[in-house]
Amino acid sequence: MCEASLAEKLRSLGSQEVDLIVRIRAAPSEYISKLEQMGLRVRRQFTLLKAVAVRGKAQDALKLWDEPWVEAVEEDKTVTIF
Amino acid sequence: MSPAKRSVELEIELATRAPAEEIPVIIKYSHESLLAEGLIGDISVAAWPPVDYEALTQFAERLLSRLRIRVLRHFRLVPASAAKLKVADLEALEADPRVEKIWLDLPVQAWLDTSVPLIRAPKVWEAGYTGQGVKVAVIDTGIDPDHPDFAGRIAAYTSFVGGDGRDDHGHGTHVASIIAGSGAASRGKYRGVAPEALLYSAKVLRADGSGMMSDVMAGIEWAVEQGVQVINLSLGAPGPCDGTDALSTMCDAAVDRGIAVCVAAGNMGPSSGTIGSPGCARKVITVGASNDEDQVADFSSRGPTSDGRTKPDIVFPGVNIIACRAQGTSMGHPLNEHYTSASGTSMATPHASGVVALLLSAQPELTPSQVKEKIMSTALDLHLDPNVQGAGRGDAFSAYTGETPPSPPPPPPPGCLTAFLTYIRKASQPD
Repeated sequence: MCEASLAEKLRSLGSQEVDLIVRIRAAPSEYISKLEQMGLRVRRQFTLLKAVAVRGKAQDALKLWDEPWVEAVEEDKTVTIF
Repeated sequence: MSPAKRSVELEIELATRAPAEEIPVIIKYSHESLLAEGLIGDISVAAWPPVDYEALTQFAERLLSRLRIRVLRHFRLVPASAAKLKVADLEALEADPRVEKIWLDLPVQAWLDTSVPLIRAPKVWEAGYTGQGVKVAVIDTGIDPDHPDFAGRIAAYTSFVGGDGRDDHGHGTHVASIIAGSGAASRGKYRGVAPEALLYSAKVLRADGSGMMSDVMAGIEWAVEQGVQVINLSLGAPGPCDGTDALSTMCDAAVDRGIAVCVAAGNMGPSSGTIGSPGCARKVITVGASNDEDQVADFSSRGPTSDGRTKPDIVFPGVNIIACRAQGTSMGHPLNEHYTSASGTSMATPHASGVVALLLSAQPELTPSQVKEKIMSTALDLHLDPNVQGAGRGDAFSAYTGETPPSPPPPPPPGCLTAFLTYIRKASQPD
């Protein structure tokens, strides 16, 4: 599920760079080139979870909402020590 | 006179003592003199004790009374006595050929730090389980590989944020030593919960103590590839959350692979609904912080999760915890070159990870859910809201035996003491 509130935030950010975690319905390796064609750089590919970490312009990331193979998109949030 | 008979510690102590002062010592008698006195046969000292204990006692009393030395006790397994003597009499004792060695009788402070005895980890050590060989991953700011407390027990370390994985903040080193520090640089005083566990360190947070969820996820995958049995995550994002985010989901996936994952609840308390990712993950052990008086710290994040589940799962000590200081860092309140004090659920979580390591060294076949159940079902109930205390304060020995821990003493009556403790609690905010 791609949250509407995140899409709204991305629209407001325009060409600013954002970091996202994209969960994919199939093996992530099959979609690396598609992500790159969208203008998104794949920072990390995961194996325990069908997901990738991407970086790119917010306006490019919005294209993810149109892809049926995308299960969910979320912000790659900052974590800190506790 | 033979200065070589003095131990190094005794020599150092003498520099601060006046001649008339008494000091505690342990005096060992020479093999040759015992042979000459007919107290032992012609056998090695390793075969001790071959003598009549009464005869040895008389021999020692004669020798020491001549020098006005006050005897405290004689030993049976080694030919030695504990005594007190005046500094001025030391040279005469050393000159006696029947004396082989004189040590300063040092105070024993193996578990002086309060949190490890509070959760009764030393009682599990006494049963023979110290976390030996259990693989624990610390996914944090890295580790100081040169700290004496980790000597020979860092199995692997790596970085997902550049550099070589050395700790340039101090947090990861502090956390790692609460789990598995040997206390080597403190004569055992600041020993961790599972002091013989093996450490795997993934640096996922930069020198400012922050990083990205995806780097933490990469660290978790690395730990899984390394075959670790426990993962410690003393980090997270602000709450609330429902446990369906990518980082929480990955933590649950690691648990599904047979790895126990301990996660800090966060330091956003005392408001409710303040536990963020990955503390909101369903299958992890989410850890809040208590103090040495078994009161939950105000800063410790509270449940429930945004989908209404109770969290944290448990609390462990996390206030003013003295543990290892990474070289070149000053996180917390440094005590000396090797140790620093810090507070937070970050400090509570490695207590839980250490307990998991102890349980796995005793029963390697336990699954993560069994470990979680053991720790939670044997926790000391602090009679607080479950969204504050979880199941209560964890107890290593109870988790090991399966028995309920002893009840704490009744709370003090309202008055000066309560006010004082409240003051202390407020003063003990996270670092």
